[in-house]
Amino acid sequence: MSQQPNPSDVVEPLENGTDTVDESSPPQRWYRVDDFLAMGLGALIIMVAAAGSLATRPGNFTELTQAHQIVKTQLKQLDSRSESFSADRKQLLKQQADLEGQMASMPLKSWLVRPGEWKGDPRTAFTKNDKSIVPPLVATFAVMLILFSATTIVQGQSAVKFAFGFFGVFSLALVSYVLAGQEVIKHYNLEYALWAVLLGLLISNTIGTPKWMSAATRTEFYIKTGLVLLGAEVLFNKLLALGLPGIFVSWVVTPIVLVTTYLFGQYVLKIPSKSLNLVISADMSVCGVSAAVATAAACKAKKEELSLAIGLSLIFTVIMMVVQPFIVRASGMGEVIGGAWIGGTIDSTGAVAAAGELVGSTAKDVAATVKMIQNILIGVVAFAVAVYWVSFVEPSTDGKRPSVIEIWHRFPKFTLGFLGVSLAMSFLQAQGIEGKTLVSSVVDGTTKSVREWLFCLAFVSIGLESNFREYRKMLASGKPVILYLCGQTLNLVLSFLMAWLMFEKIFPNAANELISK
Amino acid sequence: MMMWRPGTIGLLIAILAIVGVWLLVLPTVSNLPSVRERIDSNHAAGINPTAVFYTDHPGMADIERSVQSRVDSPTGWFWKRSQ
Repeated sequence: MSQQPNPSDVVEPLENGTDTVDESSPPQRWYRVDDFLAMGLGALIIMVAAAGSLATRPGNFTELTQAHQIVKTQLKQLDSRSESFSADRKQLLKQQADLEGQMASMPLKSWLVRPGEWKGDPRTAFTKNDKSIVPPLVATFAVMLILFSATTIVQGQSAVKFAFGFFGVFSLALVSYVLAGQEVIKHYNLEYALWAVLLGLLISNTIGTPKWMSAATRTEFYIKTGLVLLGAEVLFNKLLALGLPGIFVSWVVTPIVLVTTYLFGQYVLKIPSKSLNLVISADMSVCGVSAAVATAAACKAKKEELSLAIGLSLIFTVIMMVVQPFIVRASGMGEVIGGAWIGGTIDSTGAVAAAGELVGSTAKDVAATVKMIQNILIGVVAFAVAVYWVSFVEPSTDGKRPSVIEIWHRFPKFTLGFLGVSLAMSFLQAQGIEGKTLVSSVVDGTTKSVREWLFCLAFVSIGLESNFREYRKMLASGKPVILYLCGQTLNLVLSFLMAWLMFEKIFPNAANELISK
Repeated sequence: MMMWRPGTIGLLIAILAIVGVWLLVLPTVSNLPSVRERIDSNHAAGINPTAVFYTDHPGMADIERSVQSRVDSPTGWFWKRSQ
């Protein structure tokens, strides 16, 4: 008989309520609460990355800055002429990229890695440029073990037990990355999140999650810390990357689809779980996995609800990234409108770029840029969902609208860290090339890798704490699939209409400008 | 006699299935012409289809630079509303 309690007996919310006051036990000190610890840990990682980057800046940074300014001016002069200078333009853009690469020092990047792509021999996933990445992988494990063991000690738990468990969870995350790295799996967008949840589920539903591993299945904490780090990538300066058309396709259509789908789920489909409804609506309308994670944490969704929403998103993304480019080409809607349509509707960024490329280079650029602008929306969506949830959805103790103090107690405070980091990094990004390269070195050199690992650890933990029966129960009515399909249909129609309106009727020169050079 | 933990057989079968699919089936599938073409095209364009966020996409910085220079073009054509 299994030694473990059946994980489906208790379905825990993603938010474990550690920041609420339990009257039967002494009040928990604020610094032991997951939300504050996640914010502290996130801030520490960002500060170490920034300090490392500043300390290792190249000696000729000033000269590089001046050279960058010269290239930028040359590029502007070239773009101001009516003739097309495609080759010169490409050359200048390459120079600009090289200079920015030299200016953004990333001392930690080569030590924070994950397995790469492979075809027939999985051992090749552990090499990069013919060099073994095993030592950096060990370093990645060690860094994360130290950081999370320290937080375990702060929370008054056993660091030794955590270390054993973390070894198990990290190993499963590593296997998930290897499975996701097989080239067919990778190029058809079956992301690591799916394999991480499935591996966890496989163990919890066969032999049961071993007790020694349970000490490190800290889903909420990994997600909250990962989201605080994700804040560094949510840069509001990128909003105007595609001018007003980009804003309209990404920031006007998306909220309309999100709210309409949620209301449809509530009042037409009558989905019993509001959080499941909201997570599916957000991951379908905003940007897939990352939006699902942020929304689920903000509305305290159940672990199974998050993984179900991600599963739906991944399955439909695989279909859409094959079908949509075909429709764009067959209908002759053009690369710009087609690209904007693909960018506004396919859930994940990588799939958007791959689908856009099947249409053409301009379509890929437009699609990826629209998706990038949409990505930025998740900061606002997560915050809005958190406010809406604690103010209007969670029942009040006396049945009345909760007071401001009650709202503050319930509020998932890590979202403030998420938004705070996002605003701080956006401010830094706006401080010329120095700020831009510093942000780039922090994100590309450190926080992105740590965030990816944290999400993978969270998905493994979700699998280890879940049961297939829960998924069967949620899918029995078919309502989550109907919700996704109806919402995505609306998304497809509205995104196309908005892209057509913007690039064909209101800003026709924008489309010409994007194609011409 | 050795006592098997319940579910061990199921787990072993699943592991064997995973090993078989990933080491035998998928490498064969990746050699199919249509699949190969897609993978090679993504490699050539520097696309990582599993990028979760825009920052995970390796070619994003180049795309941004290219699009930005067109949007910010001194001619202002991008923003003009008439043809």
